Amino acid sequence: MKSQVVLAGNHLQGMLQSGADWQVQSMDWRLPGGSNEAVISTPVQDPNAISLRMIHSWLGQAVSIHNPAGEIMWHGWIEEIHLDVQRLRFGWTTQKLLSRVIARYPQASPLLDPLSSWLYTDWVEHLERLEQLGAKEALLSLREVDPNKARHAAVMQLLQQGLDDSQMLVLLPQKRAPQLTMRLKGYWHRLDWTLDGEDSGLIAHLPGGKSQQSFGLSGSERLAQSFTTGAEAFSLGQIGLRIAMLGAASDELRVKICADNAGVPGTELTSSLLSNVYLQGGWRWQAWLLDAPLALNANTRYWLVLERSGALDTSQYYEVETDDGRGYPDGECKRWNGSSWLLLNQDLRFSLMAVSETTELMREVAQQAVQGGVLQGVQIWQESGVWLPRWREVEKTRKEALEEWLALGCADESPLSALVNADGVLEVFRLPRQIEPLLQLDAEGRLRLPYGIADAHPLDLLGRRMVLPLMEAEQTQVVRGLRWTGEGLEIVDS
Amino acid sequence: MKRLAIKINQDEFVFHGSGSALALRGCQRHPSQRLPSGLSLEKLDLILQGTATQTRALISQLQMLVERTRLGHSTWLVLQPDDSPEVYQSCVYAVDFNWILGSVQAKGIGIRLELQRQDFWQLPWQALALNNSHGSAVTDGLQIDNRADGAGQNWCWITGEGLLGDLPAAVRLQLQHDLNPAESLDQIILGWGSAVSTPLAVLEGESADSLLNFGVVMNSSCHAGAYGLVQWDNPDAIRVLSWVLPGAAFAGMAGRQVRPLVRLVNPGGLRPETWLSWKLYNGSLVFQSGTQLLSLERELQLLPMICLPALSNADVPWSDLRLELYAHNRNAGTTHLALDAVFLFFTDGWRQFAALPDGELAFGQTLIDAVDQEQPYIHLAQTQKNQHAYQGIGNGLWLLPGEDHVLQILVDAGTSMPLDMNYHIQLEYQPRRRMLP
Repeated sequence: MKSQVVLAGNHLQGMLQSGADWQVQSMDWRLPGGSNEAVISTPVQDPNAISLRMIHSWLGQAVSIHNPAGEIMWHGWIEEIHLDVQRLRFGWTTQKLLSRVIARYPQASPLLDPLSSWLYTDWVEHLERLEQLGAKEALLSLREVDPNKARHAAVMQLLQQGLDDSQMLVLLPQKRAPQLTMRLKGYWHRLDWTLDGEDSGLIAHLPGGKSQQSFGLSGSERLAQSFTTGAEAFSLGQIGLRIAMLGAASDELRVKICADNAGVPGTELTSSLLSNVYLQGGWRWQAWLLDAPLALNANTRYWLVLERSGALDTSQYYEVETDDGRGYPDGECKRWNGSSWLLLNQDLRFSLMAVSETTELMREVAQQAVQGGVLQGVQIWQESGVWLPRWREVEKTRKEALEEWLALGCADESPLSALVNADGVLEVFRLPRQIEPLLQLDAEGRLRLPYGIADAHPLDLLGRRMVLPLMEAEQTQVVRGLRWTGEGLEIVDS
Repeated sequence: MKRLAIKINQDEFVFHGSGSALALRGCQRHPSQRLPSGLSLEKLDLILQGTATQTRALISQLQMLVERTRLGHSTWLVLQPDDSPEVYQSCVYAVDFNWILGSVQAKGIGIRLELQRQDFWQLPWQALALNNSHGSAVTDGLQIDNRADGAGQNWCWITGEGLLGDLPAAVRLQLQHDLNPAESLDQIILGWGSAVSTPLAVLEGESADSLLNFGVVMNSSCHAGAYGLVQWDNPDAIRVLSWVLPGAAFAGMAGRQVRPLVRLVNPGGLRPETWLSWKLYNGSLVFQSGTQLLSLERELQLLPMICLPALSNADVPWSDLRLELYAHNRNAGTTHLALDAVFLFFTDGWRQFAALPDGELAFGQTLIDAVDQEQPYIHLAQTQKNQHAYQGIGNGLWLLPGEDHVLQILVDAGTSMPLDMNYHIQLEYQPRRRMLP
C-alpha cells in the first residue's frame, strides 16, 4: 500500500517537496485513542537549504496519512523531528514545550476544605507560544505554603524549561544520507497537553469550624440548612457535613433534601442514611451518597435536613460544625425544637456535589477540546450509567481523566473505549463494537474477513471481535492494537 | 539502438548516434540491473579515441555531468531504439565513471559510465482519446457533466486498445472550467476504474426500498427528477434505505472497493449528529462499513468505502447484491433524510482536490494535476500564469496498457452541488516501458 502524507498548511511544504516524497515507515492504532504513533521520513537533497527556524515551527502541526483511495488512515501531529546530516543528528521535540503553567501549594489547614488539600496560583501564560502551539499546560506541585513562591516557580518553569524544544545532539555511528524524520502522535495524545478541571457542580459553605450545633436530643431534634442553586440545574449526588458523635449512639444519620416551604423545609425530595460505622472516631467530614442523582432546578432554594434515625437521647447525640462568622449568603440555618423551626445565627459547614455520568463528563471534556481546536466533535454511542462528581480540581490531564473514566466501564460491567475517528470526532462506545461479520486472525497474525477482505480501514477494525486460529468461534478476543509497516498490517494487541 | 544521450536541462551529451562527441568512437550498453533502492543501474562502456586535448575535453564533460547531477540538476537518459520517431527517456539520479582496466591509448581509452536511473523508460506526454455521450476519441477537451442521468454524463471512458507501453503510466489531468460561468468549483473528486468501460449504475434515492416512512418527491432540480425522503425517530442504528444491485454489473470486481458519493437535498435541514454506514449482502452479510458523520454544510459528501466480496466472479457471475444504508441518530426527535442519489466511484485510482483556504477554480481557469510530479496547480489562461489553490489527495490515475478505463468526476461549489455544472477535461499519459532494446 502506498500511503500519502499530507502536512497541514502550505507553509509546511516549504523547501521540501511534500506529499509524495514523505515515506511512511510505520503507523499504529490503539484503543483507547485510535491513531497512536507514526514515523515518516524524507531524503533531503541539500541540508544547507533547510531553515532550522522553519523546522521549529512544524512542531505540533497536523499531519494526515491517506490510503491510495484518499481515505485518512492515520492522523495526528508532529511531536518530534530529527535531521540527520552525515554523522550528526539534530532533534526537536514538543515534549518539554509549555505555553501555560499553574502551580499549587498545600492548604494551611486541610480541615477547612474537605475537597482539596491544595491551593492554586493563577495561570501563567506565554502568549506567543500559546498562539503558535496552542495550550500546552503543566501543573507544579510545591510543598511550601507560599503563594508568591508558587507563582514565581510557575513563571520560571514556563520561561526556563517550557521554551526548550531542542534535543541532545547525537553522534551517529556512521555517515548517513541527509534525511528528515518525524515522529507523529495521534490526536488522543494531544489531550495530554491540557489539564482537566471543573469548577461547576459544587455548592458549598466551608468557612468556620470553631462553633458546633447539637442535634438528636430533646429541644434540638433536627437541623436544617437552606441553600440556593446557581444559574444551571444541579444534579445532586453527594452531601458533605463535618460531624461528631457524642456518647455511644448506635443509630444512623439521615440527610434529607427538601423543597422550600415559605422559609422552612417542605416536601422531602430524597434522603440518604449514613451508617453508624462511619461515625466512630470523632470529628470527621462525612459524605452521604444519594442512590440516584436528584435533579435540582436552577436559581431555586432547597433545604438539607439532618436528623438521627433513632430516638432522641440527651446523653448520646450528635454535633455538626457550623460557621458563626462570615455566614452563608444564599441560605440560613434552622433548628427543629419539636414544634417549630427556629432560626440560628449560624450556618452549617456543608458541601453539595453534583454528579454526572462518566460518559457525560467525557462529552464535556471532548467539547472543550473541540473549542480548543484539537477535536472536531464528540459522539457518545453508549451511556455508562456510572455517576461521578462533576467538580474536579486541576490535577490530571484530559487524556488521563478520559482513560480513568473509560476504565470504570459501564454500570452493567461491560467495558467502554474510545477513539478519535478519521474526521477528528471522539467516539465513545461499548466493547466489543458491533460490526459484523466477525474478524478472523490467520496463523500469520493478519486479520481476515470471511470473504477474504482484509484491507478495511484500521480504525474500523479496532474494538471488533476476532476469532483466533484453532479456537472455537465463541472464544473471541477484541482487537485493541494494530500496526502497519512495509510488511503490511498486523495485530499488536488484543 | 539508434541514438543514446544524456540531457541535463537544455544541454545534451550524445553517447551514440548523431551528434556524438568527436573523440567518442563507441558506446556499449550492458543489461541494466535492478538496485535494492528500486532504481536501475545502467552501465555504458565508452570508447574514446582522439587527441589528448579531445580526450581531456570529453572527460571534463563527463565530470561536469557527474557534478551537475549530484547538485540536483534535472538529468535524463534519452534513448531512441530504432528508426521510429519515438524517443524514450529515463530520469537519472546519480552518475559515476571510471577507467576500464586494461584499456590503452593506442586502441582507445575505455570508460565505464554507471547511471542510477528510474527503472522504466517513458515517452513524452501523449493525449488520451476520451469517449462519452458528448464525443468519441476526443483529445482536445471532452465535456463532463455533474450528473449521470438522461441530462448528462459525469464520466468518460478510454479504450485500452492502442495504449502504448507495458507498465502502468501516470495520467495528467487538465480540467478546464470553461462552460459554466455561474459558479466556481470547490471540491473536485475523481474515481478511476481499470478494466471497466462503464461506471456502476447510480443509486437513485427515489428508487430505494424502505421499511420506514418513505416517499418519493418529484423535483426537477434533482438528479433524475426526484429524490427519496425517509423519516424516522428511532435512536438506534436503523436501516433506512436499500437497493438491489445486479450481480452481473460487478463482473471481475471481486475484492475491489467502491467509494459512494451521496448528493443530499437540503443538508442544512438534517438533524445534527446523523451517522451513516453500509451493509452489503450477497446471500449473507459480506461487509459492514464504518460509520460516517454527515455534514450539514455540503450536498455532495463522501460516504464510507464499500469492500466487495472476494469470491471470484470472473467466470460465474454473482447473484444480486443488496446494499443497505443504515442511519444512527441518538438525539431525540425525527430525522428527515432527503437523498437524491448515490454515485458509486471506482477506486483503482483516486484523486480528490480539496480547496485550500480561499482556493477555488474560477470560470476560465484550468486545474492541472500530474500525480507523480507535484501538487496540482491552476493555470490562468488570461495571464498565462500558474497558481496553487488545491491540495491533491489519493494515489492518482494510473493507466494500465491494454485495459479499458473509466473516469468518474463530481464537483461542488461549496455547499451546493449544481447538477447543471459542466466543464472540459483532457487527459495525457507518458507510456512507460521496462526494457528497451
